[in-house]
Amino acid sequence: MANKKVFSSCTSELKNIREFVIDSCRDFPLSEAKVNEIVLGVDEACANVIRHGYHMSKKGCLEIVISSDDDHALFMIKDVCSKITDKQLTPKQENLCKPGGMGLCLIHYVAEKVRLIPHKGKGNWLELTVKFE
Amino acid sequence: MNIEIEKYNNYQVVKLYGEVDLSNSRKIKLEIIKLIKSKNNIIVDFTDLQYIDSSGMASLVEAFNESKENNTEFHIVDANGSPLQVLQLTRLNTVFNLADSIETVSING
Repeated sequence: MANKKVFSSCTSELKNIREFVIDSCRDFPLSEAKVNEIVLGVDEACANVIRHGYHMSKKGCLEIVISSDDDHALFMIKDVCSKITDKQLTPKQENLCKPGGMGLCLIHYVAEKVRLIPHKGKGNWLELTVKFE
Repeated sequence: MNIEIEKYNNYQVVKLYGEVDLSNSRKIKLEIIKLIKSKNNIIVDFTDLQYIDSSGMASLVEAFNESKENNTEFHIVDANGSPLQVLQLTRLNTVFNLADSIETVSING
């Protein structure tokens, strides 16, 4: 079963998104430290959508879908922004300590797999896969 | 998120409370840079900081760089929990001057 919730693209919603992720992770076999990392990764992905996808407009929306399988959890972030490419999702290692690329590096650090799910219609479906410890 | 600023010896201590993210990181940057431009040494106190994201860290990096340009000190104290993890993940723990407490910074300079 998946946990699903829709949020507005207002930056004040990031706190609610983090709480939703924490609540959804309660039943997963993950340490507190790993949950902290996941919260950070999802938060960074959502902040990127708000900043670069919606250009800080509060009129957009983000849907977060959290599900699990035997050995991993899936965190899907759906938006209705302009399509992005896999290349835009690829972090540059030298950006880890630098403002600008830090968020993307963190997303890739936290998740074993980061990918755009192809789909018909508008927007992007970004999926983060996190293996259970 | 709340900010409190108080003087401690030769330092302005910026105490961060709660959660720093894209919604408030710019405010922190502006507050700290204003203090630095007035030639203050800065201690950012993480004791009651529960969360910080990359936009918050980027704001601190900018403030840190500003302090170098102004020849002032910039320290972060008592990083713990999730904020400490973020410092380690970004390797900024090797960039910033980290200390256990305000007193430690004050003694060691």
